[in-house]
Amino acid sequence: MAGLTSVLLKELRATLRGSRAALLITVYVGLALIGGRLVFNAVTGQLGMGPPLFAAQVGQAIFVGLVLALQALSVFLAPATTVNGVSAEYERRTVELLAATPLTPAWLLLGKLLTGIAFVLLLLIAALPLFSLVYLFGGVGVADLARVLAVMLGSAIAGATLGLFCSALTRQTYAATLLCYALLVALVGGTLLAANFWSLTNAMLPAPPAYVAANPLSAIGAALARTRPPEVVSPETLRPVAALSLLTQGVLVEAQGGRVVLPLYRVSLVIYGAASLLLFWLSLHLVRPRRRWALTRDDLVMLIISVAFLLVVLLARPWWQAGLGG
Amino acid sequence: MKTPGIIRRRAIHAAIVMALALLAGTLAGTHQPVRAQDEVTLAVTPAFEGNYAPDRWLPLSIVLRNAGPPARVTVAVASPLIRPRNSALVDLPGGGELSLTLYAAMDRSTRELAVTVERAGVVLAEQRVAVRPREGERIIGLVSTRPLVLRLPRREDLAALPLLPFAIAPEQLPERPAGLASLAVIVLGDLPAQRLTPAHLAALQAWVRAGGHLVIGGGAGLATTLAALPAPLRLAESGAVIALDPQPLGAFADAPPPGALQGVVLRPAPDTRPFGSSTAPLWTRRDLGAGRVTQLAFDPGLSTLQTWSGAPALWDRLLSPVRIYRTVGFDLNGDGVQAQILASALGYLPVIALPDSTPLFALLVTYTVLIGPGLALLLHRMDRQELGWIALPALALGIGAIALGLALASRADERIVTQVALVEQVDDATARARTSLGLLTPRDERFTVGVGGDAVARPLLPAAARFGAIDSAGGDLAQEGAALTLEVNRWRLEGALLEALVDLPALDAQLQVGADDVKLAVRNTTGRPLRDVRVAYAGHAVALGDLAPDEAATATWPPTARPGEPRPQEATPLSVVVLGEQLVAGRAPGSAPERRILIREALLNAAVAAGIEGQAPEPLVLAWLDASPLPLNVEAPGAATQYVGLLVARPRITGGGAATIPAGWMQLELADAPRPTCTGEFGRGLVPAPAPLIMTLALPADLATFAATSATLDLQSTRPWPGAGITTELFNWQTGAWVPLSFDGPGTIAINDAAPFVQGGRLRLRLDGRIDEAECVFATTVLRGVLP
Repeated sequence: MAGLTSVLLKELRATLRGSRAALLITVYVGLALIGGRLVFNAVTGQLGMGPPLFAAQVGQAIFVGLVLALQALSVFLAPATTVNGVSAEYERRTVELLAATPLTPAWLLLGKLLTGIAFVLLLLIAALPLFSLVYLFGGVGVADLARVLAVMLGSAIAGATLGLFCSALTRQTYAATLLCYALLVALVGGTLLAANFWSLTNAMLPAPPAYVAANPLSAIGAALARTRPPEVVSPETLRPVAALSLLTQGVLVEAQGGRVVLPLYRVSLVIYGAASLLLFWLSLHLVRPRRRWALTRDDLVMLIISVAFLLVVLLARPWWQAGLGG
Repeated sequence: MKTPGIIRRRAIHAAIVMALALLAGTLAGTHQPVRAQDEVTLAVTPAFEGNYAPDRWLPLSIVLRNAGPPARVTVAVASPLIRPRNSALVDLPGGGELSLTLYAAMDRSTRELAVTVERAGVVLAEQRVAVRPREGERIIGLVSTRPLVLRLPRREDLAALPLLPFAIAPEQLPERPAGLASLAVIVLGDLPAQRLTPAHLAALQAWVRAGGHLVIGGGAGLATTLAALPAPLRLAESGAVIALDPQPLGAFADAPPPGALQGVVLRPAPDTRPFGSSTAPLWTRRDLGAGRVTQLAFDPGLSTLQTWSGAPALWDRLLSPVRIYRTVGFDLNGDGVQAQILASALGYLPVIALPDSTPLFALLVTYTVLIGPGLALLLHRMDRQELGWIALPALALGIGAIALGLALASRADERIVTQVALVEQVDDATARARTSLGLLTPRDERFTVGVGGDAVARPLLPAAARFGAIDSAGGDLAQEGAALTLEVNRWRLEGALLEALVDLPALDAQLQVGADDVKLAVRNTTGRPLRDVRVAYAGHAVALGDLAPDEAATATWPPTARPGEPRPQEATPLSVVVLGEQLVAGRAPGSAPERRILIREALLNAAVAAGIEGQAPEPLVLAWLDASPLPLNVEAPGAATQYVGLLVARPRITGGGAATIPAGWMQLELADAPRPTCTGEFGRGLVPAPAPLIMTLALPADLATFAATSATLDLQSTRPWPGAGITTELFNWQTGAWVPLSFDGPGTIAINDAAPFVQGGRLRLRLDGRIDEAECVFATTVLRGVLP
């Protein structure tokens, strides 16, 4: 544990040193605020142009815009916080030094991962005051905010783990970055492409939600579905709201008594949890200098954690299966 | 000695085995289904053997038996096709039995209902009931203490509107107008005076006013039946038992007359329309609101009529609905049209001002500068950048709290609750209230609605509005004063329609007809403030202003157009007559009408929904209510609420001595001789083709006793009046003959001795020959005479 603490402290100090962190925070918060303002202008620009406009509609539209902007930034920022975690040690040739210390590869990786997650969390906290705009207009409850924050955090953890995995696999920051973002683009773009291809080949029916379950933008879209403003607001002027339909294939289902929203984000959270565990476990082996695939005590710990996770997933089956319409 | 490798492997194996065991245990766990208890049983009997008119109510008689301890249970009726359930909360005695009537709000296609008894979500008993929609069919209620058998036409012999008779014992007659709404016609047989409660009578009267046709059987028991009925439903006094002349009956049914027809001598009230001999009519009729009452001189169950070949045609024509309304399909009373208008009115949502966001945006811009470069610069100067892990969250949370406080302080309303109430006076102490309740919320939400009266609630009829579709909420629609639970989908304007008979003292309103003018006098006896009170009739709406409880106001009826002058307002819908200026101002280029004005327009349209083209068939007193006599308390704190309520009452028309009836007061009577109407600059007229054109003009019922001495009749047309080849005749009620007039039209005819031509407030005119070239013919009268 002392090893972990020392790694954590070092990494936490290093993260905020220099202008990179301040720049990231400014860009993150600033872009989200600009996004919120643009959505506000787009919605209120429709005042007196047809259907009545209610404050809660404005609130929900801003909420959708803000969250989509923050999630898009988080999805691509989270791997960046860890993508050089292992490779930098190799590039600085400090691996041998670390191997000579009592610090185990597990503590090293966990320290790097927690630092990355902490920075993403810091970004999210920095963006929290922006949500006061949403509460000015209404239409969004605390549960809605908690839901999207949970999804953002879940996908950020998965993203940070992916970055760490790529770093451990390639041991070169440049290659790790390329690999990581290639995978991310494939995940985000590929699943959407597949879902839309399914739609095209099936009489434009919405694709089964499972197609986009692993997509972090779809996950946040599904989490936002309950706060989606009514379609009487012209989608042409509200691109974030219109994007929700694209991102959330098959999440809105017409049923007896109204429209049902499938909580697809629950499936996404399960996938992110499983993926994070698996990638971290693989990274534990990849980071070893020799006998990479030999079983160690770390594997036992990871197995127990994985089984515990699987148990929780099984126990919560009705909760997440609802996301697939089950 | 075991090596560390062996220990490690065993530990891993043990962990896997434990994990698998846990998994197996989890997978083996199954949920036990809720089991019903046998202590409670129920027996459900639907009214009218399960047949119902589309979008109406079906009363279900339910008997609950409880072999267990006393329990408070919910009895609910659900259909897979209808979103909300109708329910009732009842206290079930231990080891006892309880009967109740549950009103099921029907749609147009449900064929099975599930009635359940539940306690705390557990189903204790269930029964499925087969039901059947009857669109375009006449469901007839035969209410009598003895079996009443009519020889009705067979379904296969009719081209439309087949008859479906159902016997109803007087005590089983529903006590709410809702329970009668499926019936197109009710035939009252022998009815002992004590068998109907005041609630039965109020329901019956409200049902007639909404468009029902009540047929009161005659014969020896007529006097007893009449004693049970309120004055507006009694059309004629019952006289001696005689053999009635059956000839007119044969002519009416296009069949040879029946044999001996035993009946009573009817002495019809002046404002009714008798049929048959003038000394002993076979029946008499009166329109009441949008409905009709027919009082027979003979017993409809007479054995003579059972064997008479003309009986099917007689009943087909006599038991006709007052009007056929076209909504989604066929409707045989005006309730459906009214419900549709009341639902649509919810679409006029109030304008809610958006809060000023500038201060908050300014704060957030400042925050962005502070949290990024500001904080970094400060910590860099201090060379304590690691403090950012504490300073940044602290700053974010601090500014966030301030921003949230600012936002909540100037936050706009999120939800909208709209109530639109139409309150129609039924009798001196009762009114029928129908309230449509609409809820708009940005999130899926469940609302509890306290109901301040014994109301029944039904789904809103779907309607379109500018915001989107208006539809029914889900949940439980409890009756008998229990709170409703409405489940509303986000951003859907959803709700329910509630109706009840409520206690409301009648408004004291009079139109006093004098020799030179008509005076209005209204005293607010309702015990509640009335806003913008108006008396409307014949294209005029006289404003009396606001009236506090017990306050009175008077006015003079405005001078009407003289004969020969255009009177377009007489064909104008009531809503335009009352709200004309406000509607015109709101629809001017660059402006929009206020939403409240639009709701008022809808309510006025709903008030005359059963009439013709939005016009009132009789004088009406209209007043806006601050609060409904059927109050609904929606638990939605912080919601923007909008309430608009209209009270509709009927003034009495009185007078004594010389009186002049203004032009336009004598209106076209369309009840018995349906012919297309037309409108033009002279108001409402009739299409004259095919000739001959018979126009019956009738005064309001209160003026039926008016004795006319002279009349001025004005005849106009849209196309030029044919110069020759037209005969103009007036019906002489005393001789029963048509009297030709010397008239080369268009223009006025002065009738110096009008008494023979005006009887029971009616004047009948016949135009024959080339009148069919006139396109649309208008007739207006000014009567002078005496009111007793």
